[in-house]
Amino acid sequence: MGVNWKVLAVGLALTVPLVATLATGFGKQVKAVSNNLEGREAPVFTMEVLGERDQTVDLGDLRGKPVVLNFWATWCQPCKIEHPHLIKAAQDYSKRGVTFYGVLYSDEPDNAARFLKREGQPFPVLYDPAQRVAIDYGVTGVPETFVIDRDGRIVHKFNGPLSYMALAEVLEPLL
Amino acid sequence: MIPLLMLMLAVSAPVFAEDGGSRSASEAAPLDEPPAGPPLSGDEATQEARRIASGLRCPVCQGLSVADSNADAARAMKSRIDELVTQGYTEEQIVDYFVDRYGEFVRLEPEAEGMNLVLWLLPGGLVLGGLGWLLTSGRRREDEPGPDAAPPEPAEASADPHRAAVLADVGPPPIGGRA
Repeated sequence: MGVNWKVLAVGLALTVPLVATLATGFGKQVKAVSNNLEGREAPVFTMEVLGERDQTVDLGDLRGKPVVLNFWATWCQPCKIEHPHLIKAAQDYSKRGVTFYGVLYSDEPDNAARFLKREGQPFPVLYDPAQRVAIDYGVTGVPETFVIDRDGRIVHKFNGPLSYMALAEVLEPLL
Repeated sequence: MIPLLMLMLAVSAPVFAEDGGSRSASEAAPLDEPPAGPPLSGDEATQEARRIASGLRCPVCQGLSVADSNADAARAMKSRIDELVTQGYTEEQIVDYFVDRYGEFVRLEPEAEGMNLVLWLLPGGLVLGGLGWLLTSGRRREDEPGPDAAPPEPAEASADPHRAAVLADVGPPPIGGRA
């Protein structure tokens, strides 16, 4: 029996694009976090420092210094895992001019105060009650950590818990 | 279900307003561009905000829109949308703002561009193609003899050697019998 070239051509014309679209679509993780902001200017913010009612931090004032911005929560287990790494990194890199800030995400200030008292507080934690700043940074979960260079540009975003070594690797070239 | 959601939205609206009031604690930068539309208020603002929120994906949920989710992150996004709507930002500006932050996946419906066009056009194309095929094949069948047409002349008996051999043995079939 001969091949019906017309049917074959029409069939291929229909199935090849469909399979290709589905293949690329299924290859992507639907919940994949976006690193859209990497390489772009960090959204500026003003946030209150937790436990210091009238003290605020303005990102614009931090130009000229590399900044590490760590979104976290006490209910988040991976945040507990990375906490010792952040303590060590803050110890080593604060001396070398890097500014560290935590941002409490979807959590109560009291919980944060208790957690930091127990586990140690390596750097000031900022309060973002309505998640305005979290939305501006496209935060989809915690922990997420943004590394901002001296010019106020986001050079790297860690999705999930970071390690001391991984953070050091990103910070070293900025110093 | 819908009235219940509306009620929940109405009840939660004052909470959003309070969130907006606590701006001294945390303040994000204004959007890069000025609002392109008129500031909305009251029911109009609530409806527009809800419509926009229904088109955005809640980033911490599975296939739920921001409007339909009660997750903390979704509530925060709703309150941000409310704020932007009352400032006069248009749907396009607000959706662009969220896509800018969260990536394309924040859209519940993929945009009709690039490879996504295939997804948008293929179903319609298949239906049209199928209809066209049905029509052309139907027309072709009309050209062919229908069931009422006279049956084709039987082939010459000698065309079938086996039939010829049998006929030679038993003689011609009786009248009215099956040939």
